[in-house]
Amino acid sequence: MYQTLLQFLLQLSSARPELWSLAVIALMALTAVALYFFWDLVARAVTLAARIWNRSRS
Amino acid sequence: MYFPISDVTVSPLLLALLGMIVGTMTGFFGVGGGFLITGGLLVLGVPTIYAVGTGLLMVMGTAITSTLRHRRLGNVDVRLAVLIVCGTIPGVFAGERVNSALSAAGIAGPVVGVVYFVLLLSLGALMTGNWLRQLRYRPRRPVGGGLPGWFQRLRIGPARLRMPGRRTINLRPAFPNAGIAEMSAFTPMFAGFVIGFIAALLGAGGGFLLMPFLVYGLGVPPAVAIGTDLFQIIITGTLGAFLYSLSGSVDPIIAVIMFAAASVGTQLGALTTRFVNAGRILGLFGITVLNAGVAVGLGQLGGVLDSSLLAQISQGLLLGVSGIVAATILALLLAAAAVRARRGRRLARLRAARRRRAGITQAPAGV
Repeated sequence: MYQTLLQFLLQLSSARPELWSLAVIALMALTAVALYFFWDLVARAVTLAARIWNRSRS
Repeated sequence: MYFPISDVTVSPLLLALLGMIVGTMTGFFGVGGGFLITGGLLVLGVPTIYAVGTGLLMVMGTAITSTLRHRRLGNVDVRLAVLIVCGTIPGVFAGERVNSALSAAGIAGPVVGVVYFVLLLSLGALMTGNWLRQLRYRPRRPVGGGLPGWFQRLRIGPARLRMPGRRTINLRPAFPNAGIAEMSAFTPMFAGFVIGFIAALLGAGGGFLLMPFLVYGLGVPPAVAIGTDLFQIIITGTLGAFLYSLSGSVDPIIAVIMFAAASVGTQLGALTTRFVNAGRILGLFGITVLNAGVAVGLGQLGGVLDSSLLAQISQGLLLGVSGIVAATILALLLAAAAVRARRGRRLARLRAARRRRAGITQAPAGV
């Protein structure tokens, strides 16, 4: 599976460089936005958990 | 782990560590960190052409995440950033032309090296010097002296542009987030052109030039300068990554592994700007730039003397000091979190004591 995917990526980069470039840029942009929202959710969850813990202690 | 696109074997843990250092510095300083990523990948054994291309892709990713975080914190002046980008794009193309002409003449390497060295060293010395002076006494004059006022008073071009449909466009708008009441729209455009030109000439993103210009030249608060600078880096990083991937010199697998770690660093770095004062941010940035200047100088000297030892010392210095700075940033965040937690506990104790006292005084009244 991994080997097939690599073969496909290597062929795409040499046969269609414009498409490859756009795909690479799009992949990085999507990963960036997805990771931002993921860490934002994690931070909110941690804040909420800390608030609940503080309230239960007081 | 073997990476077939760039044909190299590198430990993913080391890639993640490098990504974490770069991400923290990007979120905190608002620079792309291209010089650091390229240097780090070269040390890890990635071929030069892939190190530069993959670095640019990573710069783009970290700039997107950091800009989103800084926008949430209210640190991005979109109007100012868009005007700067309008000047940066033609500047990048002009700089690339001059770079090509220098390459054709066979003097690109030494010219770029000397300009890079002088710029980094002078900027680093200026910022570190300012910080040390601020540590000794609190100056009454604002950062940058009279320069921000001079730039803001510059009258370039008309004040308004009349459009055919009777609409007028204000060419001397306000920049509320940046704290500028009025400035000609052509001033940031022209600055963007000059910075884009120098960045393309040096093959860098230009963040290390734009951030000090916004702070010392336009008087923008450092936190807003960082956010605005990152917005511009998204554009230059995307353009650069696109051009490099056209020639197949980008390894997206390496970039994604590094970026996964960098995304944590960018969140923490951006968050630290809320708790650290402006002087400290500029001081740490000055030390980083000064160190990069020394490392570039040693690298150039190594090239002239054909010494691989000097080149290794230069890369080690670059990575070592950057790692220490990233660790300092994380330590500052931890210290700020500890102070806030202590304050919160003290406040909770005071509230509980007040409630208890109120209960005691109210009890006899009820009897």
